[in-house]
Amino acid sequence: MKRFVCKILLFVLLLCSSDWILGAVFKLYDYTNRGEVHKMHVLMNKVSPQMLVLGSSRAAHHYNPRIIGDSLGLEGFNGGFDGKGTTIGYGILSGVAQRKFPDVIICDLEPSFDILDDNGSTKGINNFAPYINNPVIKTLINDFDPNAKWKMKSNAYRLNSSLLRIIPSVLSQHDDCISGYKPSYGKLKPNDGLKKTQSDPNYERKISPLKEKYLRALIQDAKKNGCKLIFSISPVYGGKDISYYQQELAIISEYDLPVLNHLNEPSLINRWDLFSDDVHLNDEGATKYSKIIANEINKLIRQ
Amino acid sequence: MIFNSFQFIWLFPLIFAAYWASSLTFCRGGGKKIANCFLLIISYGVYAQWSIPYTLILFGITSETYLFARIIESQKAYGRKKFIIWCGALLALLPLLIFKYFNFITDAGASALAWIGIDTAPKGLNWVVPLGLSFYTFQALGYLWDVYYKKIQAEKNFLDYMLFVAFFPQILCGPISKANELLPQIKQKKEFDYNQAVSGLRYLLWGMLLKVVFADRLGVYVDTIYADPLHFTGSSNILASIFYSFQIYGDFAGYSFMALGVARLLGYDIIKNFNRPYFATSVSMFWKRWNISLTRWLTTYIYIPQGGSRKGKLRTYRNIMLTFIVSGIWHGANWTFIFWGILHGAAQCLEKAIGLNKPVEDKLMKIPRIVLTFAIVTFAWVFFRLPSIEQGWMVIGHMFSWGKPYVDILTLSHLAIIFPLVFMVEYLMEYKKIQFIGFISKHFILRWLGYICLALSIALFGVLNSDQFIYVSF
Repeated sequence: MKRFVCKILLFVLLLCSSDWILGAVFKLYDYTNRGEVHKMHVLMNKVSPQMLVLGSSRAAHHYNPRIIGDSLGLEGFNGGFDGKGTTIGYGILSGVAQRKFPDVIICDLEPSFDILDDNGSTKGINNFAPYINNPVIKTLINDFDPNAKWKMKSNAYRLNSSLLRIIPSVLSQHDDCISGYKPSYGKLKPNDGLKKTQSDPNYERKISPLKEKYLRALIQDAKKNGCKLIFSISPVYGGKDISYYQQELAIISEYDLPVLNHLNEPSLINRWDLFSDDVHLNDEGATKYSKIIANEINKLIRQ
Repeated sequence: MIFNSFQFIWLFPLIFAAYWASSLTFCRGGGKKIANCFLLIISYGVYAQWSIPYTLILFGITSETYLFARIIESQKAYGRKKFIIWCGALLALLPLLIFKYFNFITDAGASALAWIGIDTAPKGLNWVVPLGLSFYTFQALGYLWDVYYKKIQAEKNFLDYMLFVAFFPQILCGPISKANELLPQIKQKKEFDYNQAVSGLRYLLWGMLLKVVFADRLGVYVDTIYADPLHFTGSSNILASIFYSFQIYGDFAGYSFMALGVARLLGYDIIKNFNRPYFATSVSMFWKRWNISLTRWLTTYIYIPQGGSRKGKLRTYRNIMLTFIVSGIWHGANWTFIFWGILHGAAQCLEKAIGLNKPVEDKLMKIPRIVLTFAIVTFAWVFFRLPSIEQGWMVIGHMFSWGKPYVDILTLSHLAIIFPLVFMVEYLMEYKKIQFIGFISKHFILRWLGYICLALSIALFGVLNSDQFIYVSF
């Protein structure tokens, strides 16, 4: 038994040492050049945009910060990430705000990622693992996983699922994250799946209290810092029933904040050539949409 | 407490230490009893952590089979014994029938009535199926039949029997142990065996890797495609189906290896439930390597009592089909599982009829036979995975539409690392007859380097969300 226990202790010691070495060797975030790992690093450590876009892949693909920024006379950055909502957005904002709080935030709504309990989008919380020293990020991670404070002691755990993204990102010469905008270049086929997406009225949508807490925190922080927070709903191909957004809109309405609803934008939703798939505009569509939204935001800011 | 959870990582070392402390410290003054009571409390505690009311079902089945076994043993008349065993078996199956099959039976009944023009709207039960119910029910039933067949004597010590049914390493996902294997170990005084404990740790490590890194990574791709199979190309569906075959293996074998590892660390030897099933050269051989404890249970208590292969070819085929229909029903209350069982039964009947069920010695013939067996098994898994037989056929049909496969770079790059490793280990064990993960066992430094690499791989490449094991829901 003694021999076994001694060997176990030796194994634990060696494992901890290897874990520490791994953490020391793979502090490579400063050297990343492309992909989501790089974009997150840039947002958490480098940029201080005057206008920040937050949201899911629909935010990342739909809002060209150059077009919107030029129109507003502000320097913009797109902080949208695939499958991420306002909770992750709040974490990103905390990173950016360490340098300067943005003057304008555009937040593209997607209830399943923002407030609903039916989606695994909060698994993306672990993307913040390298930034655990930021107190907001620490609280956020601990809120979603009470064991995180222990797990994060391991460097290997912090690198979980990231290592294979970091290495190609470091090796890449091309920086694809100038403004955070991620253009999509595909096109749908003519009349491909053109139908208005109906929401199932009997489908019970449960709100996640934690996600709701962070949506409210995002709103309150923006208000406290004098930032113009604008919510928007970008178009989907063929249009969609707005009822899907009602719960999230009800929360936002408590704060008397503007919502630019383009879910059924007539100039875009029937144009197959402007969509890369049912829910994502391609670069051409995003350019048109960005111009529309820039105009409206301009008016809102000047009010 | 599932094995891939954070709770297991911190709690199990405490259980291990307390168990051996009680077992070794009090070895003269009834250390065995104290250690067994401790394991029993842990086993029930683990179950109660999931649901306290459902712990009563576990206790109910345990008490009922214990009592019936004692009654059966006390009876002399064959007819009365037979009557009692059937009553006992049906009573033990009652929770399974209610929780798992009630809705299925009433729906099937309503459909049959609708077919003859009688419309009924049965009210289903919205109850969660108790975790591991099928596993511990079958284990208790096996014990009951063994007492009936006089293979073993009825257990007198109720606490020992409770531990036999609720033994925590295997309660959620098996393997289904036989009473003559586990009960004597429960009664035996435990001495710490260094080699047994080390092999337990190896199994634990390898099982964890199979589940967290291999199966759960494959699951990311499979879940994406199977969430809306027709939205993706045929080649994506083919790839997802192949991946699912490996996912379910990694998931279930991973759990079984971890269960084996935990049991060995506590001084118990339980059945090894998997023996590299995808190296099987026929479907019949596949079932000698896949979920071995269930196959053994079905063979012992369904196939052989029906006559096995002793009563002519036709009767043999009937028995095979019956056994695999029961296997399908055991897996779940859905026609897809029954169809899956029928496919496996039919494949084995066909193999028997044309003589393909015997082991292949010719090395050249082995590869096509392995590929063919894998293709048949994968085809059947499609129905196992999808919610209806119609959808299964739709996906099979859609596979021929081809097109570029969906590429998830992150998942595929993880698999590019882990897949060759798993294949290499399985290949070496199958054909070079090396001991378990023995590729790292020759030199101390290399071996330990291997352990460290495997442990770090779990943290680096694993999907660490404590997802349930697929077989827990069965």
